[in-house]
Amino acid sequence: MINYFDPASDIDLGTPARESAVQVSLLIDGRSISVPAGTSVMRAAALMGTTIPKLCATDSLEAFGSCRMCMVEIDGMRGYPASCTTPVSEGMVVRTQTSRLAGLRRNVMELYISDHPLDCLTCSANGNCELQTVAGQVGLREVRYGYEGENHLSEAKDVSNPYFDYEPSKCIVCSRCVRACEDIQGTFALTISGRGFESRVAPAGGDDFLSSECVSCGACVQACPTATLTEKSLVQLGQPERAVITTCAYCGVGCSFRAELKGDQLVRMVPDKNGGANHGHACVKGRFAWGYATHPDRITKPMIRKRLEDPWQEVSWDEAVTYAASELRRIQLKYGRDSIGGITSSRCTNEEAYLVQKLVRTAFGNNNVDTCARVCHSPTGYGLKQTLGESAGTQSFDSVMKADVILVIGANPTDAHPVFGSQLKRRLRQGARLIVIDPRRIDLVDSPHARAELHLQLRPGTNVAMLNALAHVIVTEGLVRQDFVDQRCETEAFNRWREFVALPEHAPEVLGPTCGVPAEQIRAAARLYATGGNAAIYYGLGVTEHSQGSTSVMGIANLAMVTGNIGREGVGVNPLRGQNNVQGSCDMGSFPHELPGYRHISNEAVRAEFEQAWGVTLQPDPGLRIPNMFEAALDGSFKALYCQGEDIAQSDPNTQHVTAALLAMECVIVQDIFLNETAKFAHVFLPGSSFLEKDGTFTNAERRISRVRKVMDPMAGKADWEGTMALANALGYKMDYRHPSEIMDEIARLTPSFHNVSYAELERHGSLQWPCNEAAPDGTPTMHIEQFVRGKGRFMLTGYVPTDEKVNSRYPLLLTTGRILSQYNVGAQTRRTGNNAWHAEDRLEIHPSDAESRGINDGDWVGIGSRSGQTVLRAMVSLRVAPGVVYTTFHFPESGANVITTDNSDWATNCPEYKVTAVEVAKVFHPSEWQKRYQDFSDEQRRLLKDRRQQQGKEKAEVRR
Amino acid sequence: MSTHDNLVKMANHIAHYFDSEPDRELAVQGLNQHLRSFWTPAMLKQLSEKAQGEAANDLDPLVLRALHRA
Repeated sequence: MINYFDPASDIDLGTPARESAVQVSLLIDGRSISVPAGTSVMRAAALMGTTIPKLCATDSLEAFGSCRMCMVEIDGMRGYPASCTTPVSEGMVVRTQTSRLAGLRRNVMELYISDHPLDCLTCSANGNCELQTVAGQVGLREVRYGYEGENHLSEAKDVSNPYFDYEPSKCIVCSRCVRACEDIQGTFALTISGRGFESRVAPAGGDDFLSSECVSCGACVQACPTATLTEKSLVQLGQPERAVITTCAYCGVGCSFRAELKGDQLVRMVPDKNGGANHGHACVKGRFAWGYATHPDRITKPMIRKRLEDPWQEVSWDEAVTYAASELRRIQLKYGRDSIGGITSSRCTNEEAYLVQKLVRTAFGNNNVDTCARVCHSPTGYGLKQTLGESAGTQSFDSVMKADVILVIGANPTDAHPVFGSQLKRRLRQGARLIVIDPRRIDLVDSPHARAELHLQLRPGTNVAMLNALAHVIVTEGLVRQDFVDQRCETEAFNRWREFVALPEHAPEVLGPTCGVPAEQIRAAARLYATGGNAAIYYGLGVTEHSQGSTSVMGIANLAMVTGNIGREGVGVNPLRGQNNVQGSCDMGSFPHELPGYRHISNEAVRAEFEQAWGVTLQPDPGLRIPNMFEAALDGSFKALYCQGEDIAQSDPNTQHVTAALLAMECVIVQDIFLNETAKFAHVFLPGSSFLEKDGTFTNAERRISRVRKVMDPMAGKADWEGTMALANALGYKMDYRHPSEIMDEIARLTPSFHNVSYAELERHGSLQWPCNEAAPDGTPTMHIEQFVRGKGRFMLTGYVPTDEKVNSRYPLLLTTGRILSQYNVGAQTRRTGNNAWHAEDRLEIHPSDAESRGINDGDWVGIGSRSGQTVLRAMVSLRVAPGVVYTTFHFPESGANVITTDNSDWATNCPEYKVTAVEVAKVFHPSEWQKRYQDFSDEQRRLLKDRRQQQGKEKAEVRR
Repeated sequence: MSTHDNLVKMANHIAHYFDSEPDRELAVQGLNQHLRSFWTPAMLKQLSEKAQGEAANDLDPLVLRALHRA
């Protein structure tokens, strides 16, 4: 499944590739070629460099055979078969260019052009129009029908979508857009309405594209051969001149994109069909929502200030890092070496995360480094390390295409990992069976041509009970894959676990009522998972962000091992990672107890290697985790933080606790592209660089390391890795990398699972999945094939411990939080794009019965109160949530979703329990007290930014010295 | 909740994971190992001090045994 990277292969071969052990030989225009059986004549011809005119065919879609341009002559076949729908056969003799074919093609082309606006010179597709190209190929010289007949030229443009226009007068009804929406995206939002001359493309479920069911993934725009569906940016800027292959900076799917440019101006982002994770598909965020990168809110000059009440002062990079370094040293002198720490970013590159943790361990001299995985997938790291031996998912995304049963638990792929969600739905349309375990009726439960056979709508906080009940059924009904367990797993641990889950207290009939799910549904799900063929588990933050997140991850690994569903394609344990580089930031040693490659800081041999390479003595004990840092700040022992590309004041739970901790610190250094919520509490602001402004790598949820390539110069003069280097040097710890490739070389030298990774190898392969070393020089798409990384798999006991967060008469509802398709996490990026057209505010989903009993109507302002705090949102009455459960997103800071969430956390990793908060909801008419305070503080901080002083000559900034 | 109360809460929480371990000696070892693997020396010291004072009553007995082992 390794795709070798070849930029020249971005040629449309007309129909998709076929895999076959049988090769078929044929003659095309007198030349011989051999291709896999099942290949179309069109593709075979294209592979030998012969172009057959085509309009309705493109190699991302199955052949359709409607445009009649690709007809050929084939010996022994009557008429003129369409080369796109005709498969090759042994000994076939094909002619692609004859005078008869030329005449027929011209005739067809005349018909198309007779109903097409002839505005080629001013058309946005000029220079990249397939209709124009084919007209040239067939030698069209006249249109005998004239242009006065009935036509579609006066049809109105639909410009409702923020990112692309629909211009029906230019439509040739080739159905490529409709098929892309169905086959690639799986949304089925487009259709051809009417028949014959009346046939037109129409978005379903609305009057225009924006109000329709279209999810704006861009697959239709990509497929359109004319200017009918065109990016607005292309209309505005014209055709791009060059392209740079890079990697998306949104979710953990890690889509590969062609950043298409005109000079240094980005014209559009087009999904790269050679991308190992996305194969030419994208979502509304990666494809279109990149305007934030040049948004006027970008801060491009370093700033410092003495107190939060002072206006910011713009200074040079040198002055900013010198001041930051002097503050860090002053604080360490006064409060001790361990009084400072840092946070690496899961949005930045591997090289940048590596540098920040290196800075903390060397220049700071402690292990107080953590990363945002703390609040998302740290339980994955812990749970999979304990059971399987490696803190990462076991498969490639493509593996899902060989799954027979797909179990999705605590994840919402169509919203949070949309490109993988589309692939998953494609597999469901091929017949795979789906089990969804989730408190909400997510889209996958019932989407067009993809439905869950079972939806176990459990109560938030009962995942472990559910997993134990599933395991009970497998063990007590004789569904254990004993041969796999005997060969691959620790016998003693298995026996103890089997005895544990077989206890009557774990029967679905006992635990079902706890979960709120009928026992028979649990039994049916267990039987299907254990006996339905290749079974794969996909999970997300709905598993990890609980007080028993790590226990759930171990429970999932137990299920995979006991049914033998691990170690090959189509199966496995698949954590759907949240941020673009959350896997990478963890790999890079961002946790306070681990060095790069998940090796514990207490390991003397490992520590010695790093000490020699870095020229320092490392502390042998774990440092503070993010929540520990907050506690220590409130306790007076933690006084300074260097936070790169992370917005803890918005994303972390119990906001008031977090902001109190930030206020208690004497020096907060924030490196970001915007003045985010955390930066409002900062004393030093280092301007960050977007993913378009730097070189580096991201590692996605399938351990795929992909290149991030610089598309434009850093707006602030330094890429983030250069900012970190400047800070290290100011602290007296020398860092002198000339390029991120040198940082990767150091990572590879010091990390066994990365030994063979280098920028040269990444260029050659396109991307590499770690482990990538002497044993696996081309990377490892599937892990644990022969044996587990830890040797034998270890079953772990998973006792169900109900969360402390309980409903009562005061807080009778359970709040769970999540994400929506169009917005991304704290929204700092997507809120500054046209994506607000779909989701301009966070809403509270509430079941109609709960709404009715509280007199709440759709759109009403409602107060949500928990033991932590209160906020006010607008209600959305919805059947997606069960009675007793409410749901919201956290994309807008003023929503204060995390004012409500508590500081309960996972027992093993302190990952916050975002998914379970007991609340009460009531109709209100005013913002909450917190929201008023937030607004006042935020307005004041924005004023201090607006009034920031520019540096005048050699005048020194007013700061603590 | 103060930092020290939080340490007690966190330690008890970890101890509850080991409630399902029938071999109590393994449970003590597991808890001890977990604390040493993931807590800073300062946090461990604070917890130990709590365990020697009145807060001992708030701590799960397994935590006390694990601390004793450390």
